[in-house]
Amino acid sequence: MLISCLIAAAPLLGATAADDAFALRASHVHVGNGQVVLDAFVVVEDGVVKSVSNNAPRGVRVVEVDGHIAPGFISLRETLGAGSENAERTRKSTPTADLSFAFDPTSPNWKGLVSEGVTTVLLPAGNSQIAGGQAAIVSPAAGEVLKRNAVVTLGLSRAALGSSTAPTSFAGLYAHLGEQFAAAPEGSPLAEAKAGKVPVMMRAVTRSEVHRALEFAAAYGLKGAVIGAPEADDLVDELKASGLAVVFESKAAPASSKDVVKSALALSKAEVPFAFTSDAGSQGPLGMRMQAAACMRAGLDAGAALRAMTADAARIAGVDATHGTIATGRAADLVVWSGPPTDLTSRVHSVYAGGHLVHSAHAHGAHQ
Amino acid sequence: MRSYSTRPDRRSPLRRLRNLGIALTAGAALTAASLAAQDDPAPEPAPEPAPEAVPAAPSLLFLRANKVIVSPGKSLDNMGLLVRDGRIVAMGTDLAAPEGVETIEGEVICAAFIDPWSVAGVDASSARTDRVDTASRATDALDPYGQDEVLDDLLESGVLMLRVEIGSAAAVSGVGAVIRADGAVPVLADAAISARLYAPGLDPVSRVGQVDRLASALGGAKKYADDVATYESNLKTWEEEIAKKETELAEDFKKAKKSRDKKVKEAKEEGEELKEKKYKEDKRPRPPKFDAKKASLARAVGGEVPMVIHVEQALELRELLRVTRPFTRMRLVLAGGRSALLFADELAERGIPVIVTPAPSSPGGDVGEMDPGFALAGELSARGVEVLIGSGATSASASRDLPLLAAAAVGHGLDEDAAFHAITAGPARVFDLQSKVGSVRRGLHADLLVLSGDPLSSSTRVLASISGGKVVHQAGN
Repeated sequence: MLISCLIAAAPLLGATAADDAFALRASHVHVGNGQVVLDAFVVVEDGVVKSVSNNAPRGVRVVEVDGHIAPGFISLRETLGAGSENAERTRKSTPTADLSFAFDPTSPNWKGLVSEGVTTVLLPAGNSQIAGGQAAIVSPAAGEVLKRNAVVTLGLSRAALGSSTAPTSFAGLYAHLGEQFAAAPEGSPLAEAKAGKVPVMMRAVTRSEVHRALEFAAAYGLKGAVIGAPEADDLVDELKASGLAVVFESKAAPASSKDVVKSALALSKAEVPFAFTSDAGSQGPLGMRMQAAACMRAGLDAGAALRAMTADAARIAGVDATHGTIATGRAADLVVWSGPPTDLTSRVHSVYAGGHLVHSAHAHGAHQ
Repeated sequence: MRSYSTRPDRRSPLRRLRNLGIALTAGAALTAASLAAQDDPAPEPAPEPAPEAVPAAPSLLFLRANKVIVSPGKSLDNMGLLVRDGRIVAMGTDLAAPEGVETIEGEVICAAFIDPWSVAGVDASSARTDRVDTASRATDALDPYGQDEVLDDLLESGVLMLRVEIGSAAAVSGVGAVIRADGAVPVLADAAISARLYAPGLDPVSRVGQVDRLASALGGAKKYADDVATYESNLKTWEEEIAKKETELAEDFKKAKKSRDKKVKEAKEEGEELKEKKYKEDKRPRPPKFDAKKASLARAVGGEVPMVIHVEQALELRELLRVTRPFTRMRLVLAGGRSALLFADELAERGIPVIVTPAPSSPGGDVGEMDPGFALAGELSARGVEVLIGSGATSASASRDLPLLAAAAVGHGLDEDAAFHAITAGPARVFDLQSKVGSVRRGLHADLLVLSGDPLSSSTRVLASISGGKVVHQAGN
């Protein structure tokens, strides 16, 4: 039995608020910010974390879990369950596009993500657009859009250049983007990004693409992150000065990128926040954890690896007030692992999203 | 330095015929004389260097760890290991480092990881080609210079040995080798014959047809091996007869000479030439026509080398298990096997191991809803099937993910010891190298890892990689 229910205290009969409330008790609670609370109770009420403490809560059902509790992981790009509805092909820029419309909660692909402990996903525009629109933050387990217009996505890599349609060069791309920003009326997504109110996620892969993106961000006062940048270790000082974070993309095969391993170690040392994506990899939802594990086997601290998949990812996506950590007032997106959450040998026992049990290995695993 | 071995030459008829065949392709003329000379020690046209060549100067290395994992599930505490000339020569808790000998210490020492399904170290186009046959050899495609970066990464990740194959686009891709990642040097040149029954785009009838073609190739190889054996037996009988005749002739030499001289004289008088038969030359058994492809495949049919078959879908797998039942000596190994759970009982009973490449399930993929995804390794193992974990030979650099793949299999239900077996002792056993590598014992080759923690834990670092007694990677260096 992986999960055993027991009544910790006499249930308060008729207490309506407490019907929705329960507590998980585990040997380790990984808060997500690097802190680990031993032998702790996580109290959940109305889908939100009410408290994390060593003291047994009164009047709520306590579920004893055998293992470690960690915040649900956040993937900063996952478009598998969007078909290709996030990638407008005929126009290079659709800055007002709301990508929550690309979210298909009925896609079977989301299930695999949840069973690997990923409870929050950023759904951005395709790589071939320049100002493709505003990314949405979605919950694959609940099938809900958590936040619309969360991040402005910009495609600043070669993938955004056309072969026969403008712009075909980086000079043209930045001229086009400058025009888009200049023409953006007040209150529009690009104007909000320029005012630093909405974070951007700029896709740039090669070192010179990253360099150009950083210059543009500095000129326009953009905040947020660069997505791609496998060779970020060569640009640590520039990145540090820019205040931007880095999102590393999953790879096809091999699942671990040696460049990313080197870069993650360098960024960690320089205290530049970074995160991972789950898409585009042959390992599917596990790609994110495999890349993190590859970094750990090269010396990245387990706490830093966990932050990259939880607290730092939430901050990059601008949802740290509600997601990424197990703390009072945050969404009860909790994953129960058999061991340390960043260790690939750990198994997912159960997943809670918004306080609801959405996956249980006990119900799914044939081998248990 | 190319110091590697092929399997021991048992002087089997096939082997001799193969050697002869190579001589032929090398341009030697086939004459009655050369055929008759077959019983002489077979000339090796490409002489294989003596196995286990010893380095000129003895080299010593001392290793110590709090835990030495001797074999999966079995470990010893606080051990020292002395390595001399590439082999583990001493192990013990009270063993001290000899003075002046390089010493490496760590938390854990274990056998180096072996990727049983890889293309690292092999020239990239040879790996993908379809222009190979049963007799093609992976050792001919090794590319240590073109692949040096890939191979260096493997040393860092602790994957020090690989079973490589070529010709991923061909139905039968020939003889694969086990190599060391350090310099792509072969350890066993004829590790396995590999084939594939995996063509996702094909219609079911053609897919079954593929299996049947493989079955008839195996049948043909078996027939060939039988013919060669029959020929060998007949040849032996014939030779014995000849020897007997020779003795008789020697004994009755004078008498025979007299009688022959008389016959010659008579013939001359009659104006004829004497037609004589010294021996019964016309009755000399004739060998079957040499066929390199059949000879190579026959080694797999006879169980001399394992036969690795890449198969994913249930249709091919069911048919494959059916058609291979008569080949009782063949040592079948499945690679891929995403639908293998359906046949787990038969695989367990027949002792057929499966090389699993842990991957997520893809609902719209080849095996559809039946795809167990990452759980495949754990579920097969739970049902008694021996599981090996391989990187899948999709790209050369994929091999460096091997410890991550094994860890992911543990994270999806595979027992930790079984996962460690799947990348150490398992591949060593399946490819007949258990007397050399795959575990930590006195006398074995020093292909070892010094680690900061448990082999598969994500927070463990490879502190040092030792390949054939040589330190090929050290963390921080």
